[in-house]
Amino acid sequence: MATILDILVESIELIKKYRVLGLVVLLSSLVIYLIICLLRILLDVDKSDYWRGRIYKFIYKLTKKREVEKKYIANDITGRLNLARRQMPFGKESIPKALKVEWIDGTEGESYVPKEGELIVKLDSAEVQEKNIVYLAQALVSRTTLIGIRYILNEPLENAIDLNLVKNLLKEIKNRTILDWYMKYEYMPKIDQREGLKEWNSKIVEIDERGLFTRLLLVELDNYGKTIAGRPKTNEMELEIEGLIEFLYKIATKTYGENAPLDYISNSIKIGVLIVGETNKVLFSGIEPYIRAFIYKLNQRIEAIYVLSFSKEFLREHDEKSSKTFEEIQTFLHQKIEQDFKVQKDFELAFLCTDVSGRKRKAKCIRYIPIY
Amino acid sequence: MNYGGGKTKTINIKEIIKIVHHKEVGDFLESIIKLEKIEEATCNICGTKVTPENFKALVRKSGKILFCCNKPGCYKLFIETLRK
Repeated sequence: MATILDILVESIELIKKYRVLGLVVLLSSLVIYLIICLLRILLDVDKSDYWRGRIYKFIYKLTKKREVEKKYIANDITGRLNLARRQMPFGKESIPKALKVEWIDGTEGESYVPKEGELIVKLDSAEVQEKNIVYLAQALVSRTTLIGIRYILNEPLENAIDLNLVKNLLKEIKNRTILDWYMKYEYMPKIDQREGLKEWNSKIVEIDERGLFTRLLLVELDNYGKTIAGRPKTNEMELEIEGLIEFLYKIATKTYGENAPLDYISNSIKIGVLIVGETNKVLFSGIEPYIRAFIYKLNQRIEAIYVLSFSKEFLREHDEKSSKTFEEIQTFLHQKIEQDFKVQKDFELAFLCTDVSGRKRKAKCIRYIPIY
Repeated sequence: MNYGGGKTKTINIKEIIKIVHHKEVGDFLESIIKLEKIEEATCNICGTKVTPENFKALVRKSGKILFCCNKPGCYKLFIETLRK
């Protein structure tokens, strides 16, 4: 990839060689590039909000006018949070829902009558914008996630899920001040204060680090919510959810060569997981063991099969040929699954995660829905 | 391929949250209290009297206006109670 220095050197050479013509070509290219960048921002509502926020911030610093401050706060919050949520895949969708903030003009003579369920939050000045962002991120997560199952979840588990969803959302903003503020004043004190929360939180964190929190756990919880919709809470429901988390936690903490259950079958949740990660198994046995495992899951009438593949970054450094073969076998496995079995590919998500040894890994999560 | 999170579908339904500026909260609270004929606004979590200085949030639930003060912990609990 060309660096800025390379581009500068090339540009100078172009001007030296073609003089005025070179300069015209260079300036035209720059203008075209800027127009493309501008169009990309204008066509993306979240990016537009974010950049409008930056412009209003600049004007606010100069004018200190309240109306400008309000425009900065609102555009900055919606732009940042909505861009961040797009990086949090939840199956085919994103989690939480997109946010829209609307100012209530408190100075107007007319009174504002809140509608049923409408939340009104006081925001502080633009100088403490990180607090404003955190407050609205918390409200957004609480109001738009885990729909249909909150009444079943035990409180510490529900809080652990919410805390990590907010943390992930703020992490995607890629502003360390905001994340630090949240971790210091909201996340850590809550975990330290509440009994039971610490244990659930550590499990959710492990699941999240392997990339299975929003891509698998929340997808299954959402499906579960749809299955049990309208049914009163029972102990069995609570146990089913806790069992699902324990199942994923065992997979998330599984070390190399260690065995962990790869199917979870309860009354309303029937899922299976295939992990394609062991180099020796993939290179020497090929796709056969995985196909057999897939057939086994189909025979058990599993309702959703997740194929999790982890790339071998370290293998490439030692043995490039084996690394290539490893990737090819993985691709072949998916082709074979789609060709040979009656399955519907629900979604495919590529992501980066940390393995149990703390190494960064490229991973892929594919959800198949068998048709029986 | 996008390793930040994969390809996702954009959903157009947005969650609307109303916000009020900290310098305009006095008039806003006064109008709500007058309109709803509330004798005294108190925090739904800790019971403290809610004033423009310590007001953090409000919601209408089952027709009733519930207030929340800005004490550490109250807002978190207030948001949590709204989930149910």
